[in-house]
Amino acid sequence: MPTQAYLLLGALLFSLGTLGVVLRTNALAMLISVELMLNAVNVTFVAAAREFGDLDGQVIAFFVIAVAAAEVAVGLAIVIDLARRKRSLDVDEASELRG
Amino acid sequence: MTLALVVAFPLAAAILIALAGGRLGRRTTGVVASLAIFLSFGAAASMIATMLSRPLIEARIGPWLPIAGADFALVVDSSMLAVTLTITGVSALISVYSIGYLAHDRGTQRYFAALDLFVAAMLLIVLASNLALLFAGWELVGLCSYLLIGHVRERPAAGAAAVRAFVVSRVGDAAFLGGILLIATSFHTLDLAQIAGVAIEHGNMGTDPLVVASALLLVGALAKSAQFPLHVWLPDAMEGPTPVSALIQAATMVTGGVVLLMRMRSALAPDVLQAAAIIGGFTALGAALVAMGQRDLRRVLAWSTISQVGLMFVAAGLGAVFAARFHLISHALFKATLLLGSGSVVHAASDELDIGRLGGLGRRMRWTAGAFAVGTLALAALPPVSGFFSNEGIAAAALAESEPFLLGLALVTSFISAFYAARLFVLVFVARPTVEREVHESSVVMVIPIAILAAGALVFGGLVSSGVLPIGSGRADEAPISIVAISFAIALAGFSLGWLTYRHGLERARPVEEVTGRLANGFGVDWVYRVTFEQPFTAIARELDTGAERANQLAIDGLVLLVRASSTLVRRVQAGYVSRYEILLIGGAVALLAYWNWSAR
Amino acid sequence: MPVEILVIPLIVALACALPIGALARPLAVLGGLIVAADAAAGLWLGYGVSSPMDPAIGSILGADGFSGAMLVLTGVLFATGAAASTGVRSPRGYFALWSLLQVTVSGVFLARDLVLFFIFWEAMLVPLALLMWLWGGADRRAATFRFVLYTMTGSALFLIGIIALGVGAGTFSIPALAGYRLSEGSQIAFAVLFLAAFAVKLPLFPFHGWLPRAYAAAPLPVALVLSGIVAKTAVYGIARICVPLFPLGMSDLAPGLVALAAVGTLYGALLATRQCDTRGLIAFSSLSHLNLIGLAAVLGTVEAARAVIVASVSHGLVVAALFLLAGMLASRTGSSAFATGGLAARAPVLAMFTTFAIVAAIGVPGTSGFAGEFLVLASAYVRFPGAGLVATLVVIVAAVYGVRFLRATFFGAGAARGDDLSRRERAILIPLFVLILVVGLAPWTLTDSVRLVTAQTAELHR
Repeated sequence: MPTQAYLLLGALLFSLGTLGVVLRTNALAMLISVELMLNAVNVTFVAAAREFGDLDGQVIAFFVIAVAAAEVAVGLAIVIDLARRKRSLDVDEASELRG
Repeated sequence: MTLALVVAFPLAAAILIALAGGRLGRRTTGVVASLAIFLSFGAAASMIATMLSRPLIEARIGPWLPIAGADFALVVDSSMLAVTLTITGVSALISVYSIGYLAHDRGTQRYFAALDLFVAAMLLIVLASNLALLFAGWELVGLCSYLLIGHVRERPAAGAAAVRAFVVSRVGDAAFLGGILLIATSFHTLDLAQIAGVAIEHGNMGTDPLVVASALLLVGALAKSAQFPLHVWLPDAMEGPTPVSALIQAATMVTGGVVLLMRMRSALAPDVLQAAAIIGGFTALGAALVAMGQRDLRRVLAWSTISQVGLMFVAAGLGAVFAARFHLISHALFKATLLLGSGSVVHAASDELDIGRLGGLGRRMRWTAGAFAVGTLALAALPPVSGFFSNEGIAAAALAESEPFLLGLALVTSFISAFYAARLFVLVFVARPTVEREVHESSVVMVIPIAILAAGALVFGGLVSSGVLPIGSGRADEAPISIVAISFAIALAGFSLGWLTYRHGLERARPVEEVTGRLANGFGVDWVYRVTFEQPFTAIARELDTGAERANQLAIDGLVLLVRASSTLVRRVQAGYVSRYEILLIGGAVALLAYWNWSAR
Repeated sequence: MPVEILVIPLIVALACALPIGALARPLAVLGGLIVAADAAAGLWLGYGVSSPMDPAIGSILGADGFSGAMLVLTGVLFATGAAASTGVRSPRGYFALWSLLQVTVSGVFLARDLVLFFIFWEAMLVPLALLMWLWGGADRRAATFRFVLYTMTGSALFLIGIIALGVGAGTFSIPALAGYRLSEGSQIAFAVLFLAAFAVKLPLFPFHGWLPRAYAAAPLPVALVLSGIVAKTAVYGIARICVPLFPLGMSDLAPGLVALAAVGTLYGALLATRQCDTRGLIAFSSLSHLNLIGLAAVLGTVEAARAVIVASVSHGLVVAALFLLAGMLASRTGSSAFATGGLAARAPVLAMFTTFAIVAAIGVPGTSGFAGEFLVLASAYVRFPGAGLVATLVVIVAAVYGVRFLRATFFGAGAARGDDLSRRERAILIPLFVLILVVGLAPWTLTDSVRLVTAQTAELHR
């Protein structure tokens, strides 16, 4: 398969993730969408690594997975706290930090 | 270093009393204060011997301001030594008198501290070797007069008079300061001797900025010496305790301007000196006219001081420094006698000041009356009292400088002076009393200083005139016998007229009083002041407050509004919704990428 | 390197994080006194004189005679203000911010690098604004807001100037920049940008809009340092940055600036005669004095530099005494309005002390006020006799507002309450009075140590 196909898949997944973050107001759904974006990037990295025969892309993909795990840990903690305080997962409920 | 002690004694006493006066006790405070001035007098007297062998005594104590010449340095010649002895001697006697006068006052500590500081400051004016130190004395004299005039703080009139004296004095100070700074800019030094040297060498006091400087110095002198148009503070200053008035009018303060003219004589522009003489002449006459109509015992004396100092200005302006100095000293003696005498009268007559309601005190207060008589004769310029000789000296000086106009002014002034001097004495001591009251002679501590001063006023003129007592360099213009005769005749005529008019009390002299009473308001100068000075001043301050300052505040509020408005605009973006931030973020990123992509081409 | 001047108050500020409670105030006083003694010793030994603004020295911190004098004043005023800060709420926070303010103010006087100067300059605002905002009086929010807004506007222009100058010249070091040649036009432009910050902070007339409210609303010790030393950072900036860096530009701008300052001197004094409140009186009399100092600061001559130092120290001491007395009066009468009257009978020592402070404020010879005023005017007359004469009129107006205040408060037979000064109150005031007399009678103690440095400024000016 040509590398373009992987890149197209990555771009598609990234766009989906972005749309999810922007359009959904459910905190969990937004978290999943962020995961989707990160993994779209991973796909792109791995595809690029195969294209150029370089291992750097794969290494970075592992870093991203580690960061994503940390991000999920923190993100879920925030979501749980949000759910406790607001009795809801709607992020628009938590809009106190405004100008 | 003796010279430094002359100033140091009263200064040290002032500091000592200010710091520890509360612990000294009332009487001790007064004794310490008087003693310090006596010591100062002694120190000055001890320099007479040194003075015989050299023309100047100098004392450099230390540096002061970082400007050339502005050091703590004193200088004295024989003329100023005579003035110094007068100041310290008269002040010491006034200080002793104050012990009795303020025996029941609660504020003796601040009174005597200010009194000693006053004397020290006046000595600085006489002895300072440079203009900066002279100015220091000049301002401190004004400050002390404020403190002393407002001594009785509970009296609103005293507070108002003190404020007035200080502010008018400061008008003069501002002019003086301007003059000093102009001189410093042109001469690059403040040392009086150097300034005089340069001025004599180049004669460049005639150039424009220095005419301005001289004029400014003259304004300063006018304010300090209560000359027209800056005389308004002096009559009000009588609200202070009487010894304070004596100090201000006889020993210190008002003679400051004359001393300045004498000391700066060779540096001041000739036109300005001429102006000083003319202003002095008019002030002498005008103030004498006003004095005729006063009903308040002490105001008569205040206006007479303005008038007499005017005569000194005439002499000093004409360059007759000897005559000016002679009159300064003799005036100090007889005016102190008169003022302290009036203080005793006021004390005895339970604060009655209206000369129409006094009278017949001569028999009850023999000592005071006798001293007052000597003072009156001196004020009237009748022989053999000192006023006769010194007045005649001024007339002779005007004649010698061929100034017939000023001579005329001086002679008319002496006629009027004799008239109101007689009026004052007759009404207070001779005429039948209008109100019966218990009066008694003052305590010994008050009588002795008056007696000494009266004795001085009695013999001083004759001693100087006959050459027994030297009062410094220069000599009197030889008075032609005609002038002596004329001035004697004029004084005698004025005195007799006054005596005859008022010998039966104020009631019988009503027609005369109606004429002179019109003059009593001082030609409306007070009113002119209110209209041209006080009212515009408050109006300007008010306009600035409600106009410019309001505008400035509104400008700040405008800035605040601007910031508020722009912030409400911007805060809409920061609404707290994550999705909006996200859109902004992505939109921004895309825009940036597009820009880079586009600009790379 | 006078680093300890920054470190000592910093330690005090950090110590306030510990639960020291009542110890915070004495600690802050001590910190101020140590700094004052240290800087004074430095002045005497001439640490600044040996390392003047020499382009060869790459150091970013350093002191010369001018900053030495200002640092002594900083120490004295911060110690005095801390001593007067009795009974404040949450003292640990207060004194931590207080000491941080001291660090930043000292930093401004020590910085030898424009970026560092700017950092300290802006950092000064943080503790200052917090102290005003949290511990201030009735109008504190609005007053602080206006103060911060106004000064930040000036600082923004200042920052633009610094960046443009530093990037163009390739260095931010002040001594190095002093040797950098700029065209006359760009000197004027930079001088205007820099002056924007200094004119607001001084405040030069007519940029004083923030002043009356800030002086009225700030807690008293904060108002004391705000007027006594924070304003001097602007004087310092004009005299030690604008003049040496842009001599031609400042020379061209001088007529306008001198005119503004002369008008401001008179304007402040005239408005002071309208005040019926001690804080307002101090605010406008300070405006008058600060403009007079500013008048000399823009001149750039050796005489003017001497005058600026003496007048700045003098004003700092006098205004401190006035603010302390205002607080003592207010604690007796219950408000800072001064039409109570008759207080002299109840409190003669208070009357005497207040009279002395006013006498010093209106510049009677013997006090420091006169020495400063006389030297400033003397330096102004050389080039601008007209403006000098206008500014001289302040002598009259000052007398009016001075005696008006004394008369309203002490004269008359009003029903005044309150006791005379306590031992503690006297102990705070007397050292200030002694210093006022020392500066008034021996101003050369301040000016001698700066002779070398000011001479060098004059060299740069040519």
